[in-house]
Order: sequence, then structure tokens, then C-alpha cells
Amino acid sequence: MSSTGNIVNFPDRSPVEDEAARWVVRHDEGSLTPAEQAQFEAWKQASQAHADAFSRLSGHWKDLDLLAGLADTPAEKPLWKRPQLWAGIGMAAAVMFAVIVGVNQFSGPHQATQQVAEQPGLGVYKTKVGDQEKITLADGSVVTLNTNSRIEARMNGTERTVRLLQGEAFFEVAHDASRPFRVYAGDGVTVAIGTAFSVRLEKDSVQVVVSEGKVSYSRVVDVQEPEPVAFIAAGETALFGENVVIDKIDLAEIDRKLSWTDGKLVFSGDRLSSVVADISRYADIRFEFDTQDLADMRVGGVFGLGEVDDMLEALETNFGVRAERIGDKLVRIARQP
Amino acid sequence: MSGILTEYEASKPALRRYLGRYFSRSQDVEDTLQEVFVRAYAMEARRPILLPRAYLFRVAKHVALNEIARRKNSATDSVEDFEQPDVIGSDTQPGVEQTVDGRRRLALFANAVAALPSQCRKVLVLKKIEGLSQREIADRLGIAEGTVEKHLAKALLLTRDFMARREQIDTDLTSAREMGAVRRLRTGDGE
Repeated sequence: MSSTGNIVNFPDRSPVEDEAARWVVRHDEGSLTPAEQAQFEAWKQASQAHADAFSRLSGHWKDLDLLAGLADTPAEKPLWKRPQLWAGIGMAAAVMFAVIVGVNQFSGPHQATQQVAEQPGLGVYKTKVGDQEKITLADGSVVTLNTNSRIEARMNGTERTVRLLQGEAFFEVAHDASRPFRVYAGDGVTVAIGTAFSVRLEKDSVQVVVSEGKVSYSRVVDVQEPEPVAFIAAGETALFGENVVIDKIDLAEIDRKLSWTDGKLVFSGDRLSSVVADISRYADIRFEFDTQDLADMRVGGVFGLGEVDDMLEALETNFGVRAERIGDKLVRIARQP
Repeated sequence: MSGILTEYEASKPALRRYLGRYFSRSQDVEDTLQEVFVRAYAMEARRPILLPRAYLFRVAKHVALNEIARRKNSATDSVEDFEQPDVIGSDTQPGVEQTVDGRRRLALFANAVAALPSQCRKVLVLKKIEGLSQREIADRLGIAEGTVEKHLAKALLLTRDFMARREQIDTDLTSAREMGAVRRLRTGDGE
């Protein structure tokens, strides 16, 4: 046998096969009207090729019945009964409450004082998941730390420098032209004199939203005073990733983006997937979607931070979905049966 | 995207290692893997699977143990058949060869289903495994009945092509083995 015997070409399917396949499927369904039946007979008798293709594919269609053997599969062991679902959510809310209390006890002044003793003028502030904190820095600027965030602030006679090490923070900067206020995040630095803006550190990007005044943004590459790559003014949002994307958005949108500073999450026509991604930042919960169209569903509403259960309930009653709690860290969103 | 599909893709290497405990031939592992996927996928069509990863392993174990039990039985059967030749003559029961072939075919069909594009596969699973009518499938998936028909026709052709390709490969492998045997005979290693 020659080695070419291993190579087989499959010619493109003929339209006859496509037609035959449609007829096989239709015929099997047994729902042909007399007119369709006549049409089918006519097609089949039009040529021997038609009849042959039909009988070949009918055979294969019958063979596929073998697949029914796969239906005999053990079901998943039931984990719990449905009514316990909301009890689980309630428990998560209780856990979050405990986290907030815990943070109030352990972070804030205590930690900051501790750090000051080691390095003069340096303060470290952090929040746990679900927590937020307002901090007044030595220069009078106010920092609002969002959930699961960490900053390092150095304030002295010559510099005002904050490093955003994790998460998101909103800065209301006290005016001082002699000491620019710098926020380092990722590989960039945002510089302001007196203004209000937020910086959010993501895995591969930094997002800056400016609600007052103007800031500049530079990439930091071992340079003392790097040239700004962008200026961002009030009403603008900028995303610094591999590329720089600056968007001018209206003030309502800015308010919405900064709604977290008032302890609220505001959504208007956002994809459910991005809504739950945001919620995940405030509660140690991951969401999973049964189908892509659920993830893409547009939803809106105002929710208090930490009101995860309220939000899920609103989803269940208004959007016809089912939010199923799996373990204590996963919620699965499915269509209601 | 289907939870099972995502989890299956993510857990494939682990499932493969797991099935490696039961089968020594990698082809057996691959066949079983596809069968596990289609079974779990079909189950997901019936009810939501809460812990997809755990479930995949559960099904993997089920399929592997079934297959091993079946092989053991057929091995015993063939010994019995050998000792009692009169049994072979009865045509009422499927022969061992036939059972083995049936099981291999099931795995092959499962592979063909697993290779289908997602929507096409979903429709075929609901039709042939869940036994729903086209109308019911259309309702379940929120698509037109004509679309269901189109997907089924496509699934029919694609699975047929898949089977033809696999059978061709099998034939080639067999002939390659025969060629090897011939070569050994020629060089005098065979006998």
C-alpha cells in the first residue's frame, strides 16, 4: 500500500446533501403537511442523487439515536434545599457587617500612628472588602478609600505624595501651588494642585475620573519629573493601559462614577456582568452566568453598598432571573424556570 | 457560555490525569473524556449543575467504572463462551464483539457531538439525548423552530463527516499495523 493511502480528501458538501439533511430532520419530526409531503416526494424523485443522499443520511440520523445511551448519567448530589438559599445570603451580609466593624477597630489612626513612628510623614491606610474610609491628610486634603484599597501617603514641607497600592481612592485636594499633589498608581502619576479626582488601579490599567479642576498624568520610568502624557479636566475620564483613552462624559455620568463615595452604586443600562463585577468589589462574592445573554442583560438601579441581597432580590423579581447561592462565595445567575 | 463547557475546558488536564488512573491507552482516556463531557452537557440541559467541576469528576468516575466493569464482564463471557461452545450459536443475545463495538460507537458518537459548534451541539443534545421535539427545543432555547431544524440538519452532516474521518483514520492505522507485520515477516522477525 502506498503512503498516499493515509491522505483522504473530503470534497465540499454538495447542496444536495444540505437539502437531504433538512428533509431527513423534517421527515423524522413527522409533522409534514400534505403539501410538504408532496414537495418532499417531488424532490426525492427528481434525481437518484437526491434519493441516495436521503437514504444515507436517514441511516446516520437513526444511528444518532444511540446517543440516548448517554442520558443514563448520575445526577449531581443535591447540596441543599432551595429555601436555605436566602439564609446563605443573609449570612454573607452578616459577615460583611463584621468586616466593617473589624476595620473600624483595627485600621485608621492606630495603624497610621504606628507607621509615622517608623518613617516621619508616612501614613498607610487600607480598607477591607466592603469597607470605605474617609481620611484627612496632614495638608487638609481628604481621601476617600473605596473597598479593598490601600494607599501610602507622604506629607511634608516639600512634597505631597500618595501611592495607590491597591483599589480605588477619591481625592479632594487642598489648594497648594507650591506643593503639587501626586498620586502614583501602576506605572503612572497623576498630578494636581487643587482639584477633585479619583484614581482606580486595575490589573493592567489605571482609571482617572476628574470632577473638579484639572490634573496631569505622566508615565513613570525612572524620571524625576516625567513629561505629562495627558491632561484631564473636570468631566473627563481617562484610562491608562497599553493605550490612553480619554473620554469626555457629562456631569451626571461623573457623579455616577463617583457614586461610591456616597456609599451607593448607581447603574443605568449597564450590562449585568459589569454590575456584578462592581458588586464583587464590595463583597467577597463571585458571580457566574448560566448563559451569555443573561450577562449581557442591561439593568439599572441604585443600591447601597453591601446590599447585595437586596440587589439580588430586585433582580429576581424584576428581571426574571434566579440567583442561586453556591457555597459562600459564588452566586449563579440563571433564567427562572 | 455553558457552565459545564467552561469548566470542562478548564478541568481537561486534571480530568485526563484522573482518567489515566483507569485506562492505560491514551485513546481510551480521550474517548472517555469526550463521553464525560457530552453526558455532563446533556445533564446540564436538564437541570443546572451547581458545582460543575465536582460533577465532571463524578461523571468521569461513573463512565470509567462502567467501562471497566463491562470489559471485565466481556472478558469473562468470552472465556465462558469458549468453554461452552453451544452458547455461541444462540443468536438471541448480542455477541461480545457486537457489545464492544456498540460501546466504541457510543464513545465515537460522543466525540462527534463534542466536536460540534456550541449551538448546534445544544440542539442535537436536546433532540437525541433528551428526546425533545423540535417545538420543545425551540421553546426551551427561545429560537425559531426553523432554526432548530437548520441546526439539526447541520449537526447531522457534521457528525456524519466526523465519523467518516475517524473511520478512515482507524482503517489507516489498521493497515499501518498490517504493513508493520508484513515488514517483520520479511525481515524474519515475525515467525
